[in-house]
Amino acid sequence: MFATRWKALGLLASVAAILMLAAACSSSSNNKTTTPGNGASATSPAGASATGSTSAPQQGGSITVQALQPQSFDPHFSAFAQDISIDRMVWRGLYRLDKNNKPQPEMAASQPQVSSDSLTYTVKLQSGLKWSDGAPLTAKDFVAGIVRTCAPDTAGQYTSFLFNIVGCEKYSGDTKADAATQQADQAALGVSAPDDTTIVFKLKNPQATFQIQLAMWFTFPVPTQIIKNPATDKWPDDPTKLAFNGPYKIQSYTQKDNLVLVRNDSYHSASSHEAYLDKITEKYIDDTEQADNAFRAGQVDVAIANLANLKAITSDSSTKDAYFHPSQYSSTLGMQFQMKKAPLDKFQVRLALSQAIDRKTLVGLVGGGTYQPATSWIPGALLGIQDDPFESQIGYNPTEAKKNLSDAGYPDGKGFPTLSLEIRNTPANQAVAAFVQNAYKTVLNINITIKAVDSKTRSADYTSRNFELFAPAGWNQDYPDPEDWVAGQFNTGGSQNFTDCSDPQIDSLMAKAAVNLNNDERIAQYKQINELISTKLCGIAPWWSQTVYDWLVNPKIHGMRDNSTSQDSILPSDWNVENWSVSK
Amino acid sequence: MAAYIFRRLIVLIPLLWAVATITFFLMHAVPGGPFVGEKSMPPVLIQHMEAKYGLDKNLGQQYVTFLDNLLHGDLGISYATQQPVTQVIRHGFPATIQLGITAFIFAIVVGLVLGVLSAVNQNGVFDYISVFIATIGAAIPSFVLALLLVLLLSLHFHWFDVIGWKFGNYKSMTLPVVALGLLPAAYIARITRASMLDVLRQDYIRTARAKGLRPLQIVNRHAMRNALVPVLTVAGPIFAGLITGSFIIEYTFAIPGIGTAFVDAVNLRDYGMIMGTVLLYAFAIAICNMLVDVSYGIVDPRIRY
Amino acid sequence: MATSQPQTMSLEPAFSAATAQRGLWGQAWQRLLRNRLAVGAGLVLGIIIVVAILTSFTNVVARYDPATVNYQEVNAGPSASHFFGTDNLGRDTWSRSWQGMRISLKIGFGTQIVVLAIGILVGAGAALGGRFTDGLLMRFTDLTYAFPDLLAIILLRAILTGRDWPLIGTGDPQIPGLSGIVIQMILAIALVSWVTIARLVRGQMLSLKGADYVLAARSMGASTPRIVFTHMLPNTLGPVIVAVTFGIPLAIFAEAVLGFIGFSLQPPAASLGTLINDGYAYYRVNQWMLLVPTVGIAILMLCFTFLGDGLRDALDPRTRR
Repeated sequence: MFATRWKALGLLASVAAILMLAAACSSSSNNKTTTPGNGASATSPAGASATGSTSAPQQGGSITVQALQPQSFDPHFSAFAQDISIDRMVWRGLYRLDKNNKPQPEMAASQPQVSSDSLTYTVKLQSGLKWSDGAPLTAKDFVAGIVRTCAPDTAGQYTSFLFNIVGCEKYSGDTKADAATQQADQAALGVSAPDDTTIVFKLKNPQATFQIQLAMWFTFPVPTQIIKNPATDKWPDDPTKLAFNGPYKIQSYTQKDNLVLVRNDSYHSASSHEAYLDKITEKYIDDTEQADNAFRAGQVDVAIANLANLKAITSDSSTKDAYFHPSQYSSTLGMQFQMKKAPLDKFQVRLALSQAIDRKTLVGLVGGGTYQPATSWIPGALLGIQDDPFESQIGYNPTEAKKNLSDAGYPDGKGFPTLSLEIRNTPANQAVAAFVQNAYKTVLNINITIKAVDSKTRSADYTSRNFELFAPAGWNQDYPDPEDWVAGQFNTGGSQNFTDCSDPQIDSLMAKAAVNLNNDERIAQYKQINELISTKLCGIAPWWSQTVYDWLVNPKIHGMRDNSTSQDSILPSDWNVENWSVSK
Repeated sequence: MAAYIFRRLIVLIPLLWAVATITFFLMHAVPGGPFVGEKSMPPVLIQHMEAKYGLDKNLGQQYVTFLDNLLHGDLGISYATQQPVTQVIRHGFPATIQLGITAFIFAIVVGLVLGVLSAVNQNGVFDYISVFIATIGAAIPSFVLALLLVLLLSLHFHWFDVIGWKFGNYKSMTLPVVALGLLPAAYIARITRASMLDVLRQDYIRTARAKGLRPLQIVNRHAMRNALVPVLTVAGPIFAGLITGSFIIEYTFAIPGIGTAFVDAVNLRDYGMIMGTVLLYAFAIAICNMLVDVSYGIVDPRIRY
Repeated sequence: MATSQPQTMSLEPAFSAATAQRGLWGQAWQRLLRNRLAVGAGLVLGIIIVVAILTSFTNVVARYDPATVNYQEVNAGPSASHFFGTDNLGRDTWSRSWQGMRISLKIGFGTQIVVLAIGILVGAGAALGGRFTDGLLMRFTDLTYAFPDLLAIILLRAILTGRDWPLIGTGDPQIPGLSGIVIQMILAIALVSWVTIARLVRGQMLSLKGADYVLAARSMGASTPRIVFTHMLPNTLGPVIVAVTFGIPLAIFAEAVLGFIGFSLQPPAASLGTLINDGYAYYRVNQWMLLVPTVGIAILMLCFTFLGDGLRDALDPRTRR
């Protein structure tokens, strides 16, 4: 006969005990964090970190990093952060953003020549550039890149960023047009290569950020020796069949498993240098906690930190030296309002909803306390202001919140409709929703229902304006300029404006700032726009700023932490990968 | 027998067609589409992408196109990766099938051994051990079990890898196989034990013992064959379950199979991948069931096809 | 199993079939009582169910509302005020675990009720309805059987989620105690699990159709429904009861798997599956959040399994133990 009830229960209890012991033990045991990762050639323990930071970076070595699975290797189509991260390691554009977010010549030889009406940009390419397969890299490859992004068949998610180039918008809309029209529109594009080292861009309107666009992945060149017709030829599925001009090239790719990058000797930048590492292996691990466990076991050298367990990470000897929290924020998140749904059209209602949220406590609950309370939509660093400038106006203030709700016609919450808060279905977002629900109940005495759905359903509801409250929501920066934070989102009828924020002052300021080339003036204009958006809660109540991720970085790796900026995608300073090195 | 197998294979065609049809309409009933992204695209671009993949036609027309393509062996493109679905499946299937088969063998071997030992050694040491293992396997969800194994055997004792899958390398294979196979092993152990006890009570076993045969000979020569029949009954569904249910283990151990492909495909509304994985799994299940029924005929001489 | 009963039954006239049945169930009950493991399991289950029901009615047992947050006592360990500590939002783990139990049990039992209904309908219909109906229903069964279970459940959940439909929608629960999403889970799991019961019922009924006592009853003029419900169904119930008892923990497990990939309940409600999912992310700072629902599921699984074993041994007259 099977063991008796008590035997079985006893076994169960011992299993439970083992689970707890294991969790406790493994977090305190001194694991060999200094064990080199898969294939790493550095041999000394990480105790050498004290000496590593100031000496010149060593050439050679290899590392293994955890990353998220890429969906495509097509920079003109890419929209996912993990794809863009890889794109920037293996290809580069005419310019490159340095640590201060200023464009520096990369494939270009020098800064662009801008015509007096600011509508024509002439860029001189370095001569003698080569692709990783030996073929020459010339101006027509860059023209092909623009053509490809604007081509109707590509349908990339960032195509609209190039709509200021003459003819791009029309050309991209030619999906159902006949071949002749497509040919004509392609020829009419405002980009050309008069000779092998010159590229000329023609813009519709002056644009202060155009040079920044030339550092972005959707303007990367196309290897025309492999892809003869950039508008219609299919981009190869197998990335090893492509050619590269970035610091690294793809040696091998095993779907869902790993990607191996090796140094590209044909990379030649006008402002940067050859990469230090011989090899970078990306290992794809979806479960963040398991990625951290892999880090602890020495199977990967860099892993995304599981913020839910942050306390354990920062106290545990195997991870606390490796923990890296970037200092520059790339995202602002908060609660979005669908302004056409009553009573969200009333300013005082939105103000009450914003003032009822104690941002300081909220950030303590999610993100392990690494998020920063924010009342400004655009990160302060981009405008030269602090991050929390409007705290007294829209920040936590329960008395004011109650008063505002009452003034709006709902004393003590009476008569206020039950609004729905739509969230993405993850434990972290559920914690936020629980917090918000509780806050609105205790401070304002109103009820909200929580609608937790998956990412696609949520996006569908968002774009069809089928929502009332939408959180946490906001923006991840594409490029480090205030323009990126407002274009299309806050102007009446903007293509990305799903909250229906509509303010004539904002509209006129945005129209002016978009074509203003005087940097001080335009920053001042964006400051004003930011103040209007934030203090009037036009479509959004900002809650916190955050970095894209926090990481565990093996101390033997250098150049990652010091080069991290708000441009990080999946790995710290993955836009600047040639600076990574390992200490021997 | 050959005729039977042939008949079963023929039946597969309308079966798969029915599965494909149901899946087609079910997946289009899920709200949202593949091109609504996190960074919402201008609606004009969404329309372009939908036109590019034929998603702007009405459902009936899409179904006809889909069937037509299916008959030519074309499952379409995976929107997320822009690769043909058949290619994505071809790359991912090996790892899943390796994991499934290894876990299956583990479950059968461990289950049989534990079950037989349990039946033969009632209340002895082996009984205790097998109860312990069976308890853990049957009572703890596989994802918690996986975590427990990683914490103890990987991080603490450093015996096995935390993540990864290299076929033939015991360090990377052991934890996923155990985490996946322990539940079916426990189930098989229980069935084997019950069936073995049943068989051991039979008269012909008493005769064998009276004849003076040693216990091992009795078990091997007489008892096993008959005790195996109920195990066969569950072997098919178990194998099918291992193949289709491996996604949690694949997710936890970062195994590059297609187990996670389905859940990802549903979340991304990647219609081609949804259809591809469902058809693949349905086909695998149908083949398994057929093999089980065929092996019935081999093991039990009373059954004639 | 049922083949032994017609021998006893055909010696009795049909009108005393009822008394003979009671005797049969009585014997089974006696056998069950002698199995201490099954009795123990049943007792533990009984206690759990009673406490679970109590926690939904009175706060004395639950001590806290499972949804009440407390940001001052986040991730606290066990104490006198919080038996199992608190979770990452300061909610009491004791009361949340009981809520998880309640909902998992509802899903477990609910699934089997639906499975029984469908299974008996299809199985009996196939066995008694003539060759064409049999063929049709069996093809339908084969189709359901061939469709990968978990995939079907995920698809169904994805389709039904977040709608405003009656019964299964997002509004207030129409059936008290069963919110829309719980009904969705029940339906989704049940719709893929009824095949075993249907085949079982059909198999039993087919063999019973030609049994002597059924012929006897028919020759005495009993109507078909009476035959089915009074004579045939009770004799099929044995293996069906056993299958249902094993089906409950399987349904609870399936829900746990769905909870882990995020296809189960919404906040702040929680089933054992979603509790495990939440606890999984925080286990390094708060082991109790993961431990309690895991042990909870383990106890449920073991109890139902032992009980099922006991029922099977009790209802099978060939067992002599």
